[in-house]
Amino acid sequence: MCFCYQPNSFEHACHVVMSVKKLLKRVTAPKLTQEQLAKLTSSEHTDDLHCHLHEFTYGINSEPLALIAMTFAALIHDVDHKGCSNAQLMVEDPEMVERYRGKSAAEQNSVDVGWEMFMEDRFDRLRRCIFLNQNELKYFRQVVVNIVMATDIFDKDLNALRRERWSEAFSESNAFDSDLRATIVLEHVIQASDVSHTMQVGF
Amino acid sequence: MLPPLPSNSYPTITFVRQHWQIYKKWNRRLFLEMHAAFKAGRLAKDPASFWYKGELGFFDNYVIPLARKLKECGVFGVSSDEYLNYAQQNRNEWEARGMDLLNVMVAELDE
Repeated sequence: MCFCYQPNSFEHACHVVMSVKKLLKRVTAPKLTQEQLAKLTSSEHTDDLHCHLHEFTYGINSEPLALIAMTFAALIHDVDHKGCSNAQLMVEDPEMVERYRGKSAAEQNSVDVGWEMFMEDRFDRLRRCIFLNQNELKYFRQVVVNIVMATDIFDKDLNALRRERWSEAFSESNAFDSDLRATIVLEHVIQASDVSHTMQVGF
Repeated sequence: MLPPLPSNSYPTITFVRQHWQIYKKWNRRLFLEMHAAFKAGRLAKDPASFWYKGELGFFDNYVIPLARKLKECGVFGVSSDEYLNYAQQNRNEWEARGMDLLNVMVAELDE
């Protein structure tokens, strides 16, 4: 993976990975018993601290596959980056931009390059350790795609969509949607990690 | 027995200002990368012409609102304030010292 990055850029990728891990460690992670898990699906859990924390954090740290996907996405988010903006890519590599229909070409390319490597035979055992079945692999890929796309912060349409979804998820007038909130928070975690040099102390 | 360190000792200052050192390091790297792109004809404008104001705009329109959202979503508990505070401190420090730093980076390029 390191050699698929431009010189010096892999250090940025490592910085983003560490920042993602640091942020995710700060999300409260209650351990749930079977009884508490059962309560989560009922209305009897209002006094249960762990269940409350689980809801409070939208279950982010209770989903290990999503957390692995976050780390993987951080690692590959800039792989094979050409050192220029998507706008400049239209000049330098119009074929690539056309392949991705003019949308987040650098980010989509990074997903493809990183995913192709992950699917190589030499990582068979790693994949078998992570995924029990094809559905888990599909879910993992969905999270990875979503998270890497979130690092395109210059696409006006995508930004408007994200702002709309944030408002929808955290509006007091809307119904509480834990999955939507978790998805959006994870998108913001990778965005913050991508610019973490602007807002954090060392590791 | 070692004497206690004064409150304004060098190690303390280094720790407190670590966020600024990290920001400066990566800011410089990005500037050099974009300057190289400009020299290679891959960037229309010389980054030195917009770097100071550009960073302020980046803090005001992207970094600080993003850090504020991390705080508002509430899942990071007691450390929610940390990122927002560091972002605001870096923004203020860049406003005060960014032009000088930019001049140093430009001078380095000319050497």
